[in-house]
Amino acid sequence: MDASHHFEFQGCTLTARPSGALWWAKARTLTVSDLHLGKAERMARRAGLQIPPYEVQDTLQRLQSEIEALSPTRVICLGDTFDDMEAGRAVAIQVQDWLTRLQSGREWVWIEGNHDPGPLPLSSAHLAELTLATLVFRHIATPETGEISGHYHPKAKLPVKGAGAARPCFLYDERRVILPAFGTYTGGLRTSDPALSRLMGPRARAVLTGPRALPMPMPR
Amino acid sequence: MVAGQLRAIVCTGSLDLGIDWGDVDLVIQVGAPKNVKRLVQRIGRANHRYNAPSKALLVPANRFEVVECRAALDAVRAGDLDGDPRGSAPLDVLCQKILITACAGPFDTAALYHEVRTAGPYAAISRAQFDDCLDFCATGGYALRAYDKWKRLLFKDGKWQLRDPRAARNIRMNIGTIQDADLLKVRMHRSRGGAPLGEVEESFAASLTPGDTFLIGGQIVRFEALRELVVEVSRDRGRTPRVATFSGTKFATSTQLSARILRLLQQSEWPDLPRHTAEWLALQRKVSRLPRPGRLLIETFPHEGREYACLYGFAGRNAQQTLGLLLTSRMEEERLAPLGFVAADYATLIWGLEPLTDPAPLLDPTRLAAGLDGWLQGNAVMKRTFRSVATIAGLTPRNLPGQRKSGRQATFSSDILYDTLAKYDPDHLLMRITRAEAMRGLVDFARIEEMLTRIGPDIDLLRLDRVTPLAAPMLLEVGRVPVEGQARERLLAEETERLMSAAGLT
Repeated sequence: MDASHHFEFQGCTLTARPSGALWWAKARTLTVSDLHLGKAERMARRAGLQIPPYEVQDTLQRLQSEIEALSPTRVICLGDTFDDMEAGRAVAIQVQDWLTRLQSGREWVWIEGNHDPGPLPLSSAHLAELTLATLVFRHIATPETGEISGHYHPKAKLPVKGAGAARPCFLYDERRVILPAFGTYTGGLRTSDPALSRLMGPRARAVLTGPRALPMPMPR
Repeated sequence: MVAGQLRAIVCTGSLDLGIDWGDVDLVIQVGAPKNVKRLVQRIGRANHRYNAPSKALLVPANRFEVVECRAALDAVRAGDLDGDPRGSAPLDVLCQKILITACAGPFDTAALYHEVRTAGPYAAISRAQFDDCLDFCATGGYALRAYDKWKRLLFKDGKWQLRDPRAARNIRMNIGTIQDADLLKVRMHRSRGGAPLGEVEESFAASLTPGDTFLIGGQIVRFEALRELVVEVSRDRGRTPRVATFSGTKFATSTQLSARILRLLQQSEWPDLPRHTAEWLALQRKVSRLPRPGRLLIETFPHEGREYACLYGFAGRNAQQTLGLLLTSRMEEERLAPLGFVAADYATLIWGLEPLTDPAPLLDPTRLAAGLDGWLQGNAVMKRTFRSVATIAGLTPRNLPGQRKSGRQATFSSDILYDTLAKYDPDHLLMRITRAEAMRGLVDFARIEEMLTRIGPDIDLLRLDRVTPLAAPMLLEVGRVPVEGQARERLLAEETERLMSAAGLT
């Protein structure tokens, strides 16, 4: 059974993967957002805390699984790939070989986020935004239509009583798609938060991630 | 209170011990005392003088607690006190001790090791255990040495010291080992600074919707919003407010008291109990059966579209909770589609999509014990224990100065850290502490083994057509634990599809 959720958006068929990645089959384009690589390193540097230093490994491992499953010709990292510029520089060197392996044979685009606003010592393109056909990829949503963005880390509570914690989710309506955070060390913002409910239209849907991608009306 | 200006004080267990106020006229104990020694200790708060009798009023919150209070009073009269053996050296507390020592200045390893061993619980701690804790404080203690550049403690001139002396403030702001439920401050909407009206538990705050009123600091307020971890309220008068709940710490009923309760249930009638409680027990005996020592009673019944099973183990809340976790995971294996469970001191109630018809193989002690360790990893109790261990040991401090308050998406739960360690560094010090703590406290596996030995193969499985008198209070118990399994995914898929079609979005 197909665990993904397929939907039409601005004339394109997009797929919300259970992992939280967005797949555009026709353009063989895989998009992930908010990896926040180097979060552990940043917390050690800034707050003197030493949380388990395995989040880069875990996040990249999950990204690699998606790449192996789909063989994309293009991968877009939709901003906040690194938790800050310094973490970016440190991590980029640490996992250079791994990233090179993932990048080989395909186009790779880094979109800037608010956490990683400048160029990093990485191969491949580093852009503020990218337009492909009717779609525009950028980190933070604007009023423009046809936009694929991230930034907010949307999450939604499960619609079954006593079902425990919320899960990261996609949001989409006629005008925009917002991706969940793909990084291991990321929290979430409830879809009922005004920041999100203001952005999304009345017919917006949330797609829960997890074992299966589950579409539902966006909880407000 | 000391000045005698307060007429009454409402408290959790926080005032059980170490308080010497002579002017308390009466102690009102709400709910069951859970163990006999605690009850004596609490009653003793009233008229705290050597030559005056103490007075107390016991207020059981449900019929089962009436039985428990009765059994506890009988035990007090019989001088039959209970008590748990003292826990051995908790290593998360030692980690905190090491960090706090470093805040006071550079320290010598051998001298601190010696000092620690002078404390009773740590008298037998090995140098290797001590060094493990020291390594955790210095480098994080991970198999992957990632923090050489950002060590917390440095070894310099023969002594350990903080790498960054400014860290002392962070560490000191998090001293302490009592793990309260997360409290949120309550403030007037648009007030700038000033003392907050009070604090409520996060779970209570999460249950509020804008417009709800509740009582705090002697006034009725209206909930406006939850902003930056502050509950914002405005003044409101004249409506019936909700009352904030503070759950405090939950203790498990002691083994001795549980045994007494079971014996009390065997009486042919209960002239010492209030009539409503005696009738309740008599009705249970009529429509089903009363639990007996040496046998395990299991009732199954359908209720509101779900299949329920209630196991009366009388092993105390923590052990009954573990039994729930173990059984539901075995049921998941057997495709009985469990959805969740809730535990009380005397029973575990499990619900799911399929009825339980053959419990004996599920309760096989060797299979339960064998699966325990591997199974323990993923469950909610371990995550809860890890959360407190990580806070005490200083991995995830609760308070940070000038904490960035904007954007809740910046914070993430300690469950993620637990999952990450379980996957990449399962033998990390904090994971070892978590396992040990959980086995002793929240898991209380010893009491399950004791119960299974006590009942042997004597299981009474009763199929009933509706909820029984003894099972009914279980439906109202707080602290339901969801089971993440196939049944939940099945229901989630149904429910999301229903919502989509109801909203006309399919």
